[in-house]
Amino acid sequence: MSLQSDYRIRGYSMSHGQPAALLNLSYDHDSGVYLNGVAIVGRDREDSPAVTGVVENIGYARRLSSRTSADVGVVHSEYFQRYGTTGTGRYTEAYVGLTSAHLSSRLSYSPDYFRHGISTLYGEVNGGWETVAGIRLDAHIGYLDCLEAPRRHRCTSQYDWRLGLSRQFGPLDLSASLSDAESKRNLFYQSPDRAPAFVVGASWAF
Amino acid sequence: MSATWRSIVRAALAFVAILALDGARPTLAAPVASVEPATPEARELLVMLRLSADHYRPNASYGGAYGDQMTRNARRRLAQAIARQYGLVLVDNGWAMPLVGLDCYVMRVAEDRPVEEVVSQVSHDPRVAWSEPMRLYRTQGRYDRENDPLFPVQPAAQAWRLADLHRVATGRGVKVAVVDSQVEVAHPDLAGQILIDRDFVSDRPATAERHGTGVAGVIAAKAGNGMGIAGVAPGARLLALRACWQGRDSAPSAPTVCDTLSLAKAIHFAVDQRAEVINLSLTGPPDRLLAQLIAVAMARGISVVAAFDPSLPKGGFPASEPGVIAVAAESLSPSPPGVYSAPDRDVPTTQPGDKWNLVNGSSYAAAHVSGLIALVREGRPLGSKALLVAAQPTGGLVDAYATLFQASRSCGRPCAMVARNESAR
Repeated sequence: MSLQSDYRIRGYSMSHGQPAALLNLSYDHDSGVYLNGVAIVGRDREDSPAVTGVVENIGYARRLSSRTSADVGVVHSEYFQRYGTTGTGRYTEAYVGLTSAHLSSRLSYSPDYFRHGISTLYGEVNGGWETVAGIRLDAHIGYLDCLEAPRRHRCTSQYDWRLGLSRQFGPLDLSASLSDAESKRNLFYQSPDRAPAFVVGASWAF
Repeated sequence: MSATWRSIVRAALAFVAILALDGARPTLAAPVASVEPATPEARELLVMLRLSADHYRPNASYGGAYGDQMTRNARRRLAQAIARQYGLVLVDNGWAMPLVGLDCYVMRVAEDRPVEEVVSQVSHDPRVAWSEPMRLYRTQGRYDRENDPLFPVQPAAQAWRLADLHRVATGRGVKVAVVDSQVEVAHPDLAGQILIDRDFVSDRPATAERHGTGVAGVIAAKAGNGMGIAGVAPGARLLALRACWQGRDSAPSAPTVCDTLSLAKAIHFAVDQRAEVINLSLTGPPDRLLAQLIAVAMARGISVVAAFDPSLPKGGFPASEPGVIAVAAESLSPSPPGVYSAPDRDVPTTQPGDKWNLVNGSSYAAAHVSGLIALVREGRPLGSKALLVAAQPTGGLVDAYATLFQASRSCGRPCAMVARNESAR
């Protein structure tokens, strides 16, 4: 379970700049198959808590060596507009990833990225390093390449980045991050105009 | 600087300050029992939980991330539940060994219950990969005299013609893992030879210890430095991995022992660090976890050398493992089939306190062979075979000169030199 001051993906807020709670369930089978489900809880039009997004994921991971693992999978994400009741932003991505002790990379393809007919390829590299006093430094850089889009949509590519610090206190993980994207506006999904965003959060693994 | 940036910087600084302030305090963690000194009667068992491969997880961290925190917590909770169910005390917070896909937990059994019975019960739990008792291993070294002057001639200098070997190879750059007690890294004959010094023994302070320091000296003491001895492979670099500890008694006869988990941690680390030779101058009972790790090491082309103890079945574990180079004391004659032998008596070597002393035992015979393999491996890629030449096809007294000569046949100028020396004799 997590609490975030803002739920952001690829440089843009998916919670309209508002705090969000996330409930995460995960299952790993001995065969390497894994399942994940996330429910994102924000505030609805009456300012009451409501589910504002869901993410479902299935994948298969295999250890290539003591340092590296590879995985493939599919993830479906759906975000509900804050004042709406229907799913207004959704996409499904197939991905392949590679992870080592400190670095991971992932390549994701979506045939309908938030809008029907917009196909995209997203590549990302993530790093994580232990520093002093148990503080972990995380870094992310991603590039979204628009492969094809209907005429009524702009087909544009953009990068995003994130730097984060986190520290674990038993089952509690505190984090803070700074993130941004290249374009001021999310061209694929209606979200507040981006600005460098500082996000704090707490996760509780139980 | 805009107001947005100023507020971001302020918030970030405040966050870092909070984290740093907390750094002085210990991290909150599941209750951990204190560890009693392990003895042959230790009432501990190892519980192996399966370790899944790292993979992507959608979560609060920017939409998703790779990381093991969630599963680490889940495994710890599972270990706690298993400990509760079987009436055990969880002793540590687990040690992940991705080489063999396991997370290893130590649990303690109450005095009134047989350890083997609990091991059997836990092993049948479907949540557990397997369980086994914590076993103890002993090094195979003895000390003749305390504070004796350095014996002027090393056995290997004569029997192995060390000076000639070093004209061909010194083991330059070869990484040899000494899985043993604490090596005195600042010893004048070892300083600069240690690439990594790591302690895998819990709750026992690491001070320089006799056995590890002695084994390290036989393998890689500096040559030509005007003091002490010359290691068999003075160009090799050592991974000094403390997995054993010297008995509290300061007498030279005090045993040096290791347990399953400390050995497993050290071997895992050695493989992960791409050591080319792993020296295990110790013996004990067979163990599944250690056998798996040794198998992984050998599958990666690492030479694993172990001391042979004639008083134990098949020479004791890990010498009994297929593929492990078992080395007996030269004074044990004849060697059983498949077992090599090397100098073991009155071997001068490095000792804690900037000293040298004479040592005996198959521990040091194994160390000689580890050094020889480092010579053979010089300049060769990891995974290449290091075949020993011995008195018999299946083992016996190692002929170091022939071993290196055989390995060097395609090495050009050094081979020519060896050949000349050979014909001169």
